[in-house]
Amino acid sequence: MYIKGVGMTRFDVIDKPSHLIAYDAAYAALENSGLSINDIDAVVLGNQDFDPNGERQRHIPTMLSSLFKKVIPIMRTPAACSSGGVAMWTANKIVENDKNINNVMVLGVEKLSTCPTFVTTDELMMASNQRFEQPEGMIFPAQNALVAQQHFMKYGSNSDDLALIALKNHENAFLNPKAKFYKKKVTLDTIKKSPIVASPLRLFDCSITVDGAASCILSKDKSDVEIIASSLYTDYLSTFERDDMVTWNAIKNAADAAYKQANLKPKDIDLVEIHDAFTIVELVSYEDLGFAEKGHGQELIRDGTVKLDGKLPVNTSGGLKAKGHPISPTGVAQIVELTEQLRGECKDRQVSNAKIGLAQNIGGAGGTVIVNILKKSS
Amino acid sequence: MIMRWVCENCKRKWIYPVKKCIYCKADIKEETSRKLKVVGFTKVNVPSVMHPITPYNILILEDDNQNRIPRKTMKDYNIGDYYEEMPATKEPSVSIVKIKYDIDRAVEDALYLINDLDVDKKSKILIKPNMMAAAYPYLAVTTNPKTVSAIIKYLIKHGAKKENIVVAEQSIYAPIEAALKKTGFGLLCKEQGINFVDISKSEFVEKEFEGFKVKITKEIFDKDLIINVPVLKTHLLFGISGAFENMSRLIASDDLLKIEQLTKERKIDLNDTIVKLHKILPKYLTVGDGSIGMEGNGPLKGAPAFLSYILASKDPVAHDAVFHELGLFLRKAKYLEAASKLDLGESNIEKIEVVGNEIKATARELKPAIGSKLMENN
Repeated sequence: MYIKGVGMTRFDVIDKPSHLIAYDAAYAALENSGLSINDIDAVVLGNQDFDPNGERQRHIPTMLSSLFKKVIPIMRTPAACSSGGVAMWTANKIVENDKNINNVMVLGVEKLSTCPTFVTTDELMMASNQRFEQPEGMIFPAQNALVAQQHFMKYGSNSDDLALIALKNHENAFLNPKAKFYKKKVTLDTIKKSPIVASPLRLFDCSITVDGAASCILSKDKSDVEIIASSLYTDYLSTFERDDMVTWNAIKNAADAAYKQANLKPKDIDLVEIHDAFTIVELVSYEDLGFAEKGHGQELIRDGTVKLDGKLPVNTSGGLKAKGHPISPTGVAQIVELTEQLRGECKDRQVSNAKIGLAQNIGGAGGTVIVNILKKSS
Repeated sequence: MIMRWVCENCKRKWIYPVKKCIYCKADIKEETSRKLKVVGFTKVNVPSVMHPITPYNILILEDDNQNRIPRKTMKDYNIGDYYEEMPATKEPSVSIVKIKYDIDRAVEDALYLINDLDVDKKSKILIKPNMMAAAYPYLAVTTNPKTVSAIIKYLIKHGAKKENIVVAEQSIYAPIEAALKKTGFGLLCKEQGINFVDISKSEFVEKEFEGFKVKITKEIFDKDLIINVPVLKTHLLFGISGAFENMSRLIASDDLLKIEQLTKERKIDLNDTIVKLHKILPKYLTVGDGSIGMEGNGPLKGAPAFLSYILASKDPVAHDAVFHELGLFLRKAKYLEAASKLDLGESNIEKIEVVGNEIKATARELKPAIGSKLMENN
């Protein structure tokens, strides 16, 4: 399958209702693809039924039908923070398997900025186990803090490693006009002195919730960027239920399947977009995506491998940490970044000679993982 | 306590009480551990709707079989510390048990934590649920029959005979037949072979208190054990409906109305009257049913609160005082202090031993009934 076009809004506080934010991203992707809305045969929407922003809209696919004036197959794939990734995976399967469908629009949209933080924190926690985690206060920073603590104890990683991951992503976001932290300088000192949210994680170990939308148009018709692998795996909902809290099997399985589909190895990847909802997730992902041995992920940030000018740049967009994390659009925005990198359109943050990119989108604490591998068409 | 359901054949484990293995169709056996070790912890500093009191800690507890569970606590622990929930060491005590696996385990645990009940095959036992109206259990207007069922199972397990157990209640807002049917108590008594006593048709004895002459069901005066099982909810007149309000329906319904009228005429606070009524009642145990619970316009028109906890106490004032604390109500229910002054129990939280879950680790804001005494600026 090919990517015909991509588009996204800036990830920030956006003073528009979510359906109009979605419209902007869809419009941008169509413009970018050179296609018209008339060419779209189906739409797959990544979106949560998010209540506290005052915009609850059940049956949102038909609302998109009204918005786009299209009476075609439209569906929604809610899967917490991986809604966008699941939408990508689903769209890919549709284009691949349905001979009547040529072009599918993937869209992710969410509006979070209008909710007080304590409400958003609570709402996001609903993606954790209802009986065992929600009543115990397992908000997502806490879940990931517990993973960080285990990694520290088991493998000798530390808060300084996480701070370096945050710094790298802020440095990249500084160069990305679509990022929340575009042209906003954040120092290592600021990161290290930021307040503890859930020990050992500090404020700057956590991604920032924003409004936004991202879109991408998949097609059977050849274009300059090809999706050469797309895989989706799940794992038990809660980390405490798994044999090892710091090995996320859904990442390993999704990555292994994607490498197999693409007939590639981790060393063949030129750049990566990782779901760094928390800095520790990026570190664990270095290992479970196969870029480092288990327990050695921290070495990649310590030696600069994953920096913009390193051997394997990770999160050139700024990642969820500093570009922003509007939940459902995240998985689609990763594809936008990779596509623009492979096309050589990223200006100051362009990775030279980028030919193959990998995007990893996660729902919950490793409960759902989607890995897509994109290749610059020859 | 950690529980797991393990397949006797393939040894797969579930955190949910499944009955058969979905893989090999074999039977499932239960694993229970009480002695647990702290293997991880985080201190959370950010509040959320369900967890408004910060900072709080989340522990990862592990048993000898490497089964883990998260646990919220306000106390500090270190890695390697043992964590064991022990029964109360003094009275008054109240146990708080969150429902994790099912109501049966929660009730059993709640009673264990207040040092179990002393029953044998000769014990005559009366269980008094709330069945004030003909309402389905999910509305939480009435006691959840599953909670009463769990109590009956507990009593039989500890030596009581079902022929010596009665469930007694009267319906105020509907014919008893309709109430029995809708609340589920008719089916429960039939299935478990337990006698139901309609208090309105029982024999009464006349008692006098504070110038009121009332008829009280004779059923309660020849029992070895009375178990009061109120549904935990908000109440327009009393602020909360717990142990005290539920026991008022041991009085003939015409006398209940009379008390209300006379209270108005004599310009006495109904809160004081309900308290004084308890002076003529025998001692009883309370098992507070928070399996669902109600908030808002209780006792009849509130919304389900999904409290998911069971309380147990031999002190009805302490029981209600703890429920009151768990709801984070702005104003204290008047009757609690009045009851304490009459030596009916302890309303001072500082003097109550709370076992199981901690109050602050369980409390969340419940909406009071509009116009209730809790809303008054007294």
